[in-house]
Amino acid sequence: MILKEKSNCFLHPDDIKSFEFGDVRENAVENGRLIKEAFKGSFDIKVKKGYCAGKCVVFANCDGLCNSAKIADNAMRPLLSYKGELPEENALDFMCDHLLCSTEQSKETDLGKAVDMLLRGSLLIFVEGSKNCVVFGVQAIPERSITEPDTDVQEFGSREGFTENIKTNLTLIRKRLCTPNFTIEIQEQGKESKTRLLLCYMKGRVDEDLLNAVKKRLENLDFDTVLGAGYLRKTLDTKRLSFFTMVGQTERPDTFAAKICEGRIGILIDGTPFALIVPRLFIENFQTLDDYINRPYYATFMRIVRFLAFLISVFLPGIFVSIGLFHQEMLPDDMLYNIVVMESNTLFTLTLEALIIHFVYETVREAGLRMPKSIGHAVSIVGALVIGDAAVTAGLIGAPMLIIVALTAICSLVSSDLYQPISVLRIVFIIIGGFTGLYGIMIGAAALLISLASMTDYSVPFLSPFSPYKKYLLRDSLVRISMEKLGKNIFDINTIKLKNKK
Amino acid sequence: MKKALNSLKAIVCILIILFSFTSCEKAGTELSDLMIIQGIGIDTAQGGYKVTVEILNNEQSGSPSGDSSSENKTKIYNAEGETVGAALMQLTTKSGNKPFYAHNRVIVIGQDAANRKLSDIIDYFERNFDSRASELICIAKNTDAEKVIRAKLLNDTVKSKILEKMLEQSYKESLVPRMRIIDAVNAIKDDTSYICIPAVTVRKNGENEDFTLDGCALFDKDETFSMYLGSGDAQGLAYLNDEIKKGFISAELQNGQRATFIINKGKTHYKITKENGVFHYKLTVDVSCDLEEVGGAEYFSTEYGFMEELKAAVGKTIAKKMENTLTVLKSEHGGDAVHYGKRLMLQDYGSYETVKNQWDKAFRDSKTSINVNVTIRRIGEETFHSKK
Amino acid sequence: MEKTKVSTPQFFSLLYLSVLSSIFMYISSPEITISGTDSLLRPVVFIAVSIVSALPLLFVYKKLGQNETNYKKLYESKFGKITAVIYSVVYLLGIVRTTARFDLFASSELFPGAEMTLFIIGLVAVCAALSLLGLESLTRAGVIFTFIVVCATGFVMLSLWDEISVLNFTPLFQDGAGRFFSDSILFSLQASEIGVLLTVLPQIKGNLKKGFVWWAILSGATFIAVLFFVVGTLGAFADTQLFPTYTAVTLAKFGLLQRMDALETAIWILCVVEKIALYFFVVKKNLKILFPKVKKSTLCLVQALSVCAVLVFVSGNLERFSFISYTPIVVGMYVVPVILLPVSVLFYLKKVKKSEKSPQQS
Repeated sequence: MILKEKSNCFLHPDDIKSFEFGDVRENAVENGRLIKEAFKGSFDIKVKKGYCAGKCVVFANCDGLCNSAKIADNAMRPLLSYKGELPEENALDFMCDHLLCSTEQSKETDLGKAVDMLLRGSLLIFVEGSKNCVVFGVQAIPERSITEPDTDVQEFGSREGFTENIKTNLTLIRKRLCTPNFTIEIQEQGKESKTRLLLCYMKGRVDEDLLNAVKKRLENLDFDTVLGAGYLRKTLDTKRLSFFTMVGQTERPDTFAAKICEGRIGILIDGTPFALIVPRLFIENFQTLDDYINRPYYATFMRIVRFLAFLISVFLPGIFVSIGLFHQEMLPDDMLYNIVVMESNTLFTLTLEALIIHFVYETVREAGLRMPKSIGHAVSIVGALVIGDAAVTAGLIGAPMLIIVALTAICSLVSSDLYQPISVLRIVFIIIGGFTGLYGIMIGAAALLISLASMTDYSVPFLSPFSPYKKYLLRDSLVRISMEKLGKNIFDINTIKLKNKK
Repeated sequence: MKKALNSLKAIVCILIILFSFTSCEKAGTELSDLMIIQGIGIDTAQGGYKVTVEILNNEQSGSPSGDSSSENKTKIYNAEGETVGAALMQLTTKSGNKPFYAHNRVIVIGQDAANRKLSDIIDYFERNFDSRASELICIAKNTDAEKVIRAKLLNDTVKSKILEKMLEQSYKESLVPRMRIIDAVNAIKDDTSYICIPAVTVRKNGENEDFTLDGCALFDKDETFSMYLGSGDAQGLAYLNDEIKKGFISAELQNGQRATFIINKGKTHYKITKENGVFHYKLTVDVSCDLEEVGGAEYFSTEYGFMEELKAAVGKTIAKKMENTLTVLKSEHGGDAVHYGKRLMLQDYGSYETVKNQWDKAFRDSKTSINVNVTIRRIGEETFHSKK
Repeated sequence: MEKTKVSTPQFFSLLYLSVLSSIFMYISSPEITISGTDSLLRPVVFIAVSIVSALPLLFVYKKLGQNETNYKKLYESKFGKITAVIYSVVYLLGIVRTTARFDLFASSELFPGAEMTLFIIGLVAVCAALSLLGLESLTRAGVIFTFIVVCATGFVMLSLWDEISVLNFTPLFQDGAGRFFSDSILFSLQASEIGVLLTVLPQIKGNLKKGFVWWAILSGATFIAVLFFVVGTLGAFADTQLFPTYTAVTLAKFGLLQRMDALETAIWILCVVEKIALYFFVVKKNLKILFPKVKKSTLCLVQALSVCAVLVFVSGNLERFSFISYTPIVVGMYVVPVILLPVSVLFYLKKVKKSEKSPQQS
C-alpha cells in the first residue's frame, strides 16, 4: 500500500517489469520521453536535453547514484560547449572518441539494458540520429568506508573489511592477489533486484568439477531478490536440514583471498559485506588467520581451546543436567554436597532451570543485538541483575547452573560461525540429558557425528582431514606446524576431494 | 524416498519424546531428593539387622562453606530390617529422600553383626548399583557400629570421612590392611584365605570422643569372626602380604638406643619349596628407608659400620614383626590371612590341589624363613654439619 | 550424499568398534567365567578362529574381487536371494541380541530399576535412521569413534593400574586345556560381525586381507588389554558381577572424577550405536536384493518395527534374554554367515563356472 502511494515519485519494481523498452530510438528526445514515462516522472530520474554543434543530445541519469560534478565536467561541458563540426555519420563515435572524458564508457543499442545501467549509476547519452546510446560511467553510489569487520575480528590481521559495494570488495581482493590467474565471473541473480554476484577463483587451482557444480547450482536459483549472502547459502548447500553448513562466510578480504588460493570458490555479492566461500570444512570453524601469524605452538593451543570451547558450549549444560539427575556419583562428594545445598533451595527441576536460564540468556542476547544502541547499557544491566543476582536470590535458579550457563555462553562466542548450531544443539542436549542422562547425550552425539560424517558436498567430506583420514592435512588441522614444514597450499581443495567417485 | 525418510524422522522424534517423558524421567533424581550417605553402621537387631547411616545435611540454609551455620553438617538415621538391604530401604520412610550410596565412604560392622556371616552383610553392597566395590569396611571393636557412627568428635565434621581417611592413611603407612568390598568378596571366594578387617574403637577424650584404629579382626573361612590381631601384628601383615607402602619403623640399636626410619618402598618376594611334605616359604623383603631420628646419638656418621648397624637393626625389627604375626596367625583361632595358600596355588597348582582341603593344617605346619634386605637412602642432613 | 567406496581401515575401524561392544558388555556366565588368567589367552584363540573361519569369505573375495557387477550377478540369482534371506534373518537376530544385551546392561547398571523398553526402542529408531545415511557415513564416524573409545578406555584402564594385584590371577589352564579351548572358541564366536563382509565387499576398496588380519590382531590385543585389567583388578569378584568389565571401570578414579563408569559407559554406547546401525545397513542391503522396488527408508522402517516388536517381548525378561543368548543360537549366528554361506557361495560360483564352460565345450 505504502509502495503504491509512493509510486508517484519512486520507482516501483512492477512498473519496470511491465514496461517494454525495445531498441534505442534514433529520435533522442523520444528516448528521453520513454524513460520518463517508464519511471512515471519519478523525481530522481533526470532527463535533460541539450545541443552539441546543433545536434540534439539527451542526457538521462538517476540522481543520487551519480556524481553530478563528473556529469557536468566530463560529459555535459565538453558536449554542450563544443563549437566545432560533427560528422554526419557516426556522430556518437566522434563524441566518444574526442569529446567525452571517461575510462568507463560503452555503447548500448538495447534501451532496456541501458536503463538497467542507468539504475546502477551510469549516465545515458542519446544523440539525435544514432541507434546507440553512450553508457557513461559516473557512478557515485553512497557507500560505507572500509572498516574493520565486526563479526570476523583478527588480532594481527588486516584491519580492512568488505563493504556493501561489490567494486570496492573486488578491489580489496585484487590488491591481495596480483595475478592473472585470479579470475572473476559476473552473474546477475534476482529477477527484481538483479544483484550482481562475482564468482572468484584461481585458475589452475580451482577444481573444474567444483566450479561447474557451483555454477549449475547458481543457475537454478529462482529468487525475486537477493539481498544477502544467506539467500545463496541454501542453494549451495546440499544438506539443507543439517545444523551445519558447508558454505563459509567471511567479511575479511584476506581470509577470502587465502581461501581462493586454496582452490575454493568465493562469491562476492553486491549490497552485502559478507562473501561466501565454497566449500568449507568443519575444521575451518576453528582456524583463523591469526593462527598463521602466531607461533605454531600458540596457534595449536588456541585451536584446541576453540575446539574445547565448542564442545563445552554444546554439551556442558546437558552433561551438567544429566550428572545432576542421573550420575551424581561422578562428582566428588564435597562438590556434590555444595551443589546439592545450593540447588535444594531452587524452585524448578534441573532440566527446567537449564532451559529457563538459556531462554533468558538468548532473549537478552537477541535484545542486545536488535535494540537501539543507546539503550544497550540499560538492557545489559537488567540482564546481568536479573540473571546474575535476583534469580539466584529469589530461588529461581541455582548458582551452579548460573556458572554453567555463563561459561557456556562465553564458549559459544569463541567460534562465531558456529553460534547458530551451538545455541540450538545446546537446548536439544539439555532436553536429552535431562530425560535420558549421559547415555542419551552420547546417542545424540553419535547421531550428530554420523550425520556430520555423511555431509559431502562437491565431493569434499565435511569432516576431512579427520575422517576420511588424511595424515598430510593433519599438520594444519587442530595442530599447526611451522610454516616451513607446512608446505604450499596444504588445504588445497584437490587434496581434500574424494577421488574414487563411483 | 523423501516422504518415507521424513516419516521415519518423525517417528524417531515421537519416540524420543515418548521415552523422554515416560520411563526415563523416573530414573532421574533431583539433587535435593538425594540422601547422600557417607557412612553405614551395621548392627544386629531382633530378627535382623539395624543400620545407622550418616548422611550429609543438604537442607542447610545459606552457603555450605564456612562453619557459621548453626546446623550440623551431617544427620544420622536408624532403620531396622530383616536383612541389611531391607533395613537400608527402610531409610526412605525416615527421611523421604532416596538413599544414595555412591559416596558412601565406609561400612562399619558392629561386634555382634561380625559374629554373623560376613557375606550376608556385604551382599547388598556387592549387588547395589550405586555402591562402589571399593567401599572400605571396618569392624567396631567390642562395640556397636552405631556408637562409631554417632561418635561425638570435637568438631562438626563428617565422621565417616575422618574414619575413611584414617583407614586409607593407615593402609598407606602399612599399619593395617585395607579391606574393601571387592577384597572381602575375593577373600570369601578364596578356599584358603582368612579375612582381615581393620578394627576401630571409640575412646573418650575429655567430653568428646576419638576414633582409634586398633589392629584388625580376623574372620575364618566360614566368614565368621575369629579373633583380633593387635596393632603390632597388623603391621606384620603388610610385610607378609607384600603390601608395604610407606610408613615408619622404630628399631633398637646395639647400644640400646632406638632409631626411627621412614619407609619409602618395600617389596616382599616369595619362594615356596616343599620339604618332607611341609611347605617352606622363603620370604625376602626389600625395604628402602630414611633415617629420621637416632636416640642419644652424639655423633652422626656415614661410616660403613654405623650404616650396617642401622640396616641390621631395621631388618631385625621387620623380621621380628613378621614372625610375631605369623605366630599369632598359626595359633588356635588364627588362619592364613597372608595368602600363603593363594601364592602356593599360583606357584605350584598341583601341590595346592592336594592340600587345599586341609589348608589350615598345612598352613600351621608350614615353615617360613625371612630375609630382609635394607637400603638406607638418607640419614638426615645433620650428618654433614654436626661433627664434634 | 555422493557414493564413494570406503577404505579398508575405515571399514575395519567400524568392525573393531562393533567387536569391542561385545567385550565391554561381556556377560559372565557359569559357562564362561572371566576371572581366571586363562581368559587372557582366549583372545589369541579368537584371532586364530577369526582368521581361519574367515577363509571362505576371503576366497569369495578372491573370486569376485571388488567388482560390483559380479556381486550383482550373484544376488540376482535365486541362490543369491536365498542367501539374502538368511543374512537378513541372522542379522536381524543380531540386532535383537545386541539391543537386548544393551537393554539388560542399561537396566542393570545404567538406570537400575527403570523401564528401559522405550529407551531401547529409541536407540533402535536412531540407529535405523543413521543406517540410512550409508556405510560411508558410518565408517567415517567409526574412525573418530574408534579414536575416542580407544583413548577413553586406555585412560580408564591405566587409571586402574594401581588396583592390579598379582593375587587376582590364577594358574594357567586351571580347569584343563579342554575347557580352555571350548571356552575360547565360544568366546570367539561372539564376533559374528565378520559375516557382514559378504554384503559390503563391493563397497570396500584396498587390501582386504591385510585389513582383516590387522583387525583380528588389534581386536585380540585390545581384548587382552581389557581382560588383563579386569582380571587383575577384580579377581574372583568378576564372577559375581554380571558385567565384569563395567565393574572394573567403576573402580577407576582420576583426580576430581570419583567414578568414571558413567563417562566410560557413555563412550561405549558409541560402539553399540555403530554396531546396530551397521547391522541395520546390512539387513537393509539384503532386503533391497529381495525387494528391489521398495524404498530403502521403507525397508529400514520395517526392520526397525520388527526389531522393536521382538524387543518389547524380550525386554525386561531375563529368561527370554537367556534364550536368545543360548549357546546353539550364538554358534549358529556365527557359523551361518561367516562359514556356511560363504562356503555355499563358493560352491555356487564353481557350479556356475562349470555350467558356463560346458555349453562352450559342446
